[in-house]
Amino acid sequence: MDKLVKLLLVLVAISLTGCEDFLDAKPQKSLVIPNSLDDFQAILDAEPRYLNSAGSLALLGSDDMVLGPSLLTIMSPEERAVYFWEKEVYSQNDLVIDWTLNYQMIYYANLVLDGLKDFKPRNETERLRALELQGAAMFSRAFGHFSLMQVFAAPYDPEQTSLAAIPIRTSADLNLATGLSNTAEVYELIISDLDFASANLPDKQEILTRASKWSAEALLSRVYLVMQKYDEVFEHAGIALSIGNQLMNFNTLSSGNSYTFPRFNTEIIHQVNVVSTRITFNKEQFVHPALYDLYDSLDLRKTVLFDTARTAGYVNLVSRYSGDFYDFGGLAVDEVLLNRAEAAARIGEEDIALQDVNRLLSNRYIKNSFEELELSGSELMKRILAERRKELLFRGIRWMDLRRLNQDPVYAITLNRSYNESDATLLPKGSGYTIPIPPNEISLNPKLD
Amino acid sequence: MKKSLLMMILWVLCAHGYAMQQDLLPIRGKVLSETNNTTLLGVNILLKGTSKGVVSGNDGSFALSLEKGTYTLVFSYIGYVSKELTIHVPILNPLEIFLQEDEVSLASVEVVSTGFQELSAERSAGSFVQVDNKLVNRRVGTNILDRLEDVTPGLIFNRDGTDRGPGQNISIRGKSTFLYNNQPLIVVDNLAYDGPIENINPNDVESITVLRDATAASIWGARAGNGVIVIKTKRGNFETPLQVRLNSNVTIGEAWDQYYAPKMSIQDFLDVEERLYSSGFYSNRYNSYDKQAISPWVEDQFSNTNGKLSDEELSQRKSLYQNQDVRGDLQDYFYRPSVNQQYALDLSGGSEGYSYLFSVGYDHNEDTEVTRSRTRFTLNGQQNWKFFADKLKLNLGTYLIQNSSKDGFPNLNSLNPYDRLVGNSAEALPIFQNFNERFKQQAVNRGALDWAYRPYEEIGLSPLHNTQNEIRLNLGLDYKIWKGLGAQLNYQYWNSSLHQEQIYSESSYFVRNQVNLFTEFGTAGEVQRNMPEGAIYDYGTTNQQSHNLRGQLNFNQKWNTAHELIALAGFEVKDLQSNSNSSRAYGYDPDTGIPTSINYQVLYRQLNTGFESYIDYADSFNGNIDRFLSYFANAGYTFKSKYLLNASIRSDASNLYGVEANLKRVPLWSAGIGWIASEESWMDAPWLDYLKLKASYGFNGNTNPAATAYTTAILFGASFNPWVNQPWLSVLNPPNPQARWEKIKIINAGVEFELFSSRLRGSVEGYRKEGLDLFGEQPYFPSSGNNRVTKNYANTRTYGTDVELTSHILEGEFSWTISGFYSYMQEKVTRYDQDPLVRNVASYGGGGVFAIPSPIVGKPLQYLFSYPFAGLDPQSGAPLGYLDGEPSTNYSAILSQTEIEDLEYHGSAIPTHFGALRNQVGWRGWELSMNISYRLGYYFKRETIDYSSLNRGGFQHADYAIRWQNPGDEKFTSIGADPLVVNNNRTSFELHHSGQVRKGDHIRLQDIQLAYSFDKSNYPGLPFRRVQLYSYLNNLGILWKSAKDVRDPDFRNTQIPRTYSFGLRVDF
Repeated sequence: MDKLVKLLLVLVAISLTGCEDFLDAKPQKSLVIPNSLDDFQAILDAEPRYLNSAGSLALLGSDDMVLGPSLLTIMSPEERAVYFWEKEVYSQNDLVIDWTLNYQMIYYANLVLDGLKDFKPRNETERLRALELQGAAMFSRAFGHFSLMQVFAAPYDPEQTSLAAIPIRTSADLNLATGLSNTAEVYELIISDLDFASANLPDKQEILTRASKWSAEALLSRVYLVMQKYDEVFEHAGIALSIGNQLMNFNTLSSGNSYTFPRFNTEIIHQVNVVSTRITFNKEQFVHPALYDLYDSLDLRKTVLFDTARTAGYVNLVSRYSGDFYDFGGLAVDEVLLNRAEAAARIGEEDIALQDVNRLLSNRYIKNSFEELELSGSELMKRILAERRKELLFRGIRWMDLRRLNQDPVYAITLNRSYNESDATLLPKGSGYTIPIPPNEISLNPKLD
Repeated sequence: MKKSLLMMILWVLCAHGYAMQQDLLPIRGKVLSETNNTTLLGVNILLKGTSKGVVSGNDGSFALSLEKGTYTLVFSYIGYVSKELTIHVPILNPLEIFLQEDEVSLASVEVVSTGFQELSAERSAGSFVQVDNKLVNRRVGTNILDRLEDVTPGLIFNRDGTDRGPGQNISIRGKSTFLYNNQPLIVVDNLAYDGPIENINPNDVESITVLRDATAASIWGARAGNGVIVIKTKRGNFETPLQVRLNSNVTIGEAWDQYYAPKMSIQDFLDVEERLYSSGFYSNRYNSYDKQAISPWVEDQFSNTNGKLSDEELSQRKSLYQNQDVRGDLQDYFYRPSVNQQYALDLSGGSEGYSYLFSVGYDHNEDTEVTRSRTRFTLNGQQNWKFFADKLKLNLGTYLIQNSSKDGFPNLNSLNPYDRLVGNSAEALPIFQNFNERFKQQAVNRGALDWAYRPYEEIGLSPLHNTQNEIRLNLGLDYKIWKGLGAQLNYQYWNSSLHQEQIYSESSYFVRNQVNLFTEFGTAGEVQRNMPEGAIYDYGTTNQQSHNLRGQLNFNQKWNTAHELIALAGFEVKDLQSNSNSSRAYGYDPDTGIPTSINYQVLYRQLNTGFESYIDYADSFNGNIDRFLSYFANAGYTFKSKYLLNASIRSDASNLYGVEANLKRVPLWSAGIGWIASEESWMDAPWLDYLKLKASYGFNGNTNPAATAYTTAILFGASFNPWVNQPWLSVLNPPNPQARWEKIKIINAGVEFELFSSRLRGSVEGYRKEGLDLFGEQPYFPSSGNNRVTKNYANTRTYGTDVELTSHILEGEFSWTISGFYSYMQEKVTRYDQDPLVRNVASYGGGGVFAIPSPIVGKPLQYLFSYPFAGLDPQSGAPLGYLDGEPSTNYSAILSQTEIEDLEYHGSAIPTHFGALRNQVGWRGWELSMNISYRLGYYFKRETIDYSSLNRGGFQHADYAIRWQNPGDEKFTSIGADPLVVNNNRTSFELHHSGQVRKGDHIRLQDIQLAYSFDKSNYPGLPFRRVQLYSYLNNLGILWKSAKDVRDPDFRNTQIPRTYSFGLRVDF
């Protein structure tokens, strides 16, 4: 009997001493507490969690597309309201993907940034890689905040930068709610994030979903364009182009692929796809006839990008820079080239502007048919803006351009939707350019109300 | 009852008896328990009217000598009903006397098991419900938990159907947690059971104890939050000769009634499709980018418009469809009455130092869906040894279980109501599936495989097989160290391996469809199949094993009759590990077992959309480890046999991930007091047999894997990341350093009594249960990056009462017993960190759709709210709600502007009063019992027509026929007019307005059991010791319901089938 007691005591003792390790086993194989640099990279690589995604509202609100009647019946009430620029967008507490996906991107970036604060590099290689990951996370955070500003905040007006805009998130802590910051504060954060990213990221990345100095500079040129700071646009677009400025020649596109453009074509700086909705696949998603009419017959884009729709008088967009059915929401060389062209024209560097536009168009027109442009002043400016419209379609960029250019009476236009019985009109400074913050953010966020 | 039968038979026998002799004649016999055939030692056998008698010996046998004549023997034994037997000496065969367990005085001998100790319920202040062997055996079925239904006060089978199937979801005294682990802990043979509960054979179960309050359950600590169910299996008895028992039964259940859910008529549906067609609704779908299928009638109308179908043919088609109903074919060819067979055989016995019980069980269930069946095979061995003058006891339990299921039922998800599945000569007919016929036909013409879906032909074509093998070894050692001190060691090894496989045969639609989608046609007409032809083989294995070790010291001592202490303390370690993998092979040849290799990295163009896609890569691997380390102690002190004190403490630690070390461990405790008032000398009423008052207080807990202080993430492979092609992390739980354990605080008080010579027995208990820091998933502000977050977010408080009464109205040859219980439960949310969203509140409780309620302080967790309904608009028939107090049809404003206070509150969505009443009558060998159950005090929203679905071409509710159609109809109907368009806001209002709310209250005739038994004491010539023939009818129907316009408040869309069982039990 003594033996039994002893056995019991031994067992108790074993369990006591072994208990530290015993209870430290991971409950699930694939579970991870992210704390290594590889973990942080894996968080930033979470493309299926929207790390390389953009919302679709900017596309929907712009005059890039026109929707057919039966498509209009199956859209969500929110999508319809944005399409018709209605003031009341939300009838329900449903989530709006544009809002949530960008904040999820920012949240993932903040998890990495919070995690890096506690990370102790063991050597120089690790220190540099940590800096690089910090830069990449800041790029994603900037991308998210910038995308939100283009949809949920009033169009950027250099004279009115103290308007309440959106909540800024710089921590992943759930218990910290943040209220609305003003426009200037948000852009300040975006630019400082991007400056850091540019300074610490490698020039280019093998994997084009990852951020690089190239993508940071390209995004900076876009941000400054929205802010109408053309000197900076010129400077940052220039840096981006110095890292890479190769264009596809539409005369030499290979045929026989599923999609006209391959995935990760040579112009892609940063790969981002617009999330697919029920509109994405619908054949009643037409290219706006006014846009299609802009292409002349020698322009290869007219044949490469479009296909006749089933509905007479309309065309569908069939070729996208995503190299897939997704609309492209990322950064590409053609955009940066046009950013620089416009900025150059505005700051008096017309030679460079002309050179950029000619270089783009010579890659877009039928071989040997293109005659170099020789324009100046407002003619040049108008042509550059027209080329932006034709080149950067269905990327959400038209929406940003409308919001920016409408502040200049020379370029301001009024949009109409005449497809439905009830005609909708969007005036240059109409409220339809700002989508209200979703009601469930307002009701659930203790700092808003 | 049996007495008289026995008497009769003996009398008949003795009529042909021996010649008279005045000598003393020997009388031998044996006394056994009727319940489990164990021999009873120490039974008093008295010659009636004299003081002459004997006591039964070790093996239950007795002998006495009497002169020739007629005598009455009285057999009495504590805990058993006394039995009188008239004998006529001399007798031919030895007597066998079965004594019936005395349910009346159970309280005084009731031994309940907590899994740590067996104790007399009388000596504890805790709240136990015991379901004894007789009650366990009353029902017939495969699943052990079903045996608890409607016989356990405070325990309810939830029928909201949200998380588990019927009969799988149990709450003991209300729901204690909102998340994953909301089911009671199941303990089998002293240790927590890790396998699926379906693997326990009810025939191996001796009794079940349900632990309801903190004193009873807190010894289970962090796993006791949802209550504990302790299952005790049968054992052999020492010093008993071999006994063989057989139980066999068959249960037949009604085939699933296809017409149970009320649906609109086919004619009406065709008319709706016609209207939608003419409004152009289908024009986009007709030529959709992914070539989706549209219904036959719509397709016909397109053909007619395109000139491919004449007007005459079109009207012929319509009249054809009108007379077809897919439910008829389903009823005839796809569903059948279910048949469950059950056989169980056990052998038991024992010598002085050894006892055994071996049992074998076989269950075969044929479900109502054709080809769907399940077979369970169980082998069970229980062996007990006693050594060193009973100082050391050893117990070894061995269980082997094989559970296999087969399912070859085809996919019936996209049937049209007027489809035909089987032709006149029983040939399989094709239906439209996935893609439209034009696209399919065109592809087939170009070289694609046959693309038709013929459900009848698919039956059994791609069978899914599941085989689970389970081994469980229980080793128990019990050693008496010194006087009242003993040591006990329990060890359990459990191993389960589950193998799952499904071969989609080459000719199955699944394979043909996949192959066709990955087919490309070259410009020269060549056919390129990017996915190999041949079967697709899915297979996977899950291996689980656990070790569970518990060591404890028991102390049991009495001092000078006034003090008694029963105490135990010990530790428990548990390690549960599982590994699983699953995979898929393409182009598999079942004969040779050889698959075709696939390049998963190549994008292929999909035939229907032209989009590029990879071939599904379905390999996955996973592993889990759960570990617990616990310490516990428990003591029960009794003073002068009437004052009771119980205390218990337990500390649990686990390997919860991402949790700060101090949060990994939780200490939980409880205490209880009791007073057996009837033991007081001054309490001397002759009608009062027993009276106890008791009270307890304490905490139970819940482990929760979502309680993380650090970020946890799950790693996915590069194959799930086609754009980046790198492994990636998906964040599971955001960091929450403020996470705390869920605790359940329980206060319980009660009284137990026996009156009028145990004619009336019962208990009344009242309790208050508080859920503290409950975890829940709550909507969160999206700018945090999370739309929903799991946190400690609520407290709840539940008040309840459980009353249990048993009355023996008649005893004797004709017996009549009524047992019943009544449970009342009122749960309320007392803290919730957020304002609920009105829309979520109003839409909760509509139909069987999974929904998480948004808690509201002051209301039950599962509540029922609705939008106030102002009737139908007399002009348009549109349903009216209220906007600023005025009737309105501005649904979007109603939805967005109605506040919680403006909603109509009805009450709880789960029963607040429930119980059952069981009448049991016996006459001679006959026994009839009937259970009537009731559920009261709750509400639901009846299903009605969803016009949004209708106007998207959905086959809808029968309310369509009684909808508002003309002005004046509003006087007869509350079903709104068809808006003819999709209006989601109106539909949200219409499905959730107060006109749809009904009371769920109902009374149900749950079951009837009829049995006839006879044994050797009645028929000495019987080759068996005892035989029982029984029948059991279950789910018999509703006796009364408050809502007149639903068939069954608890089973509104799918019926609960009636079942009829017949069987016999033989004791050899």
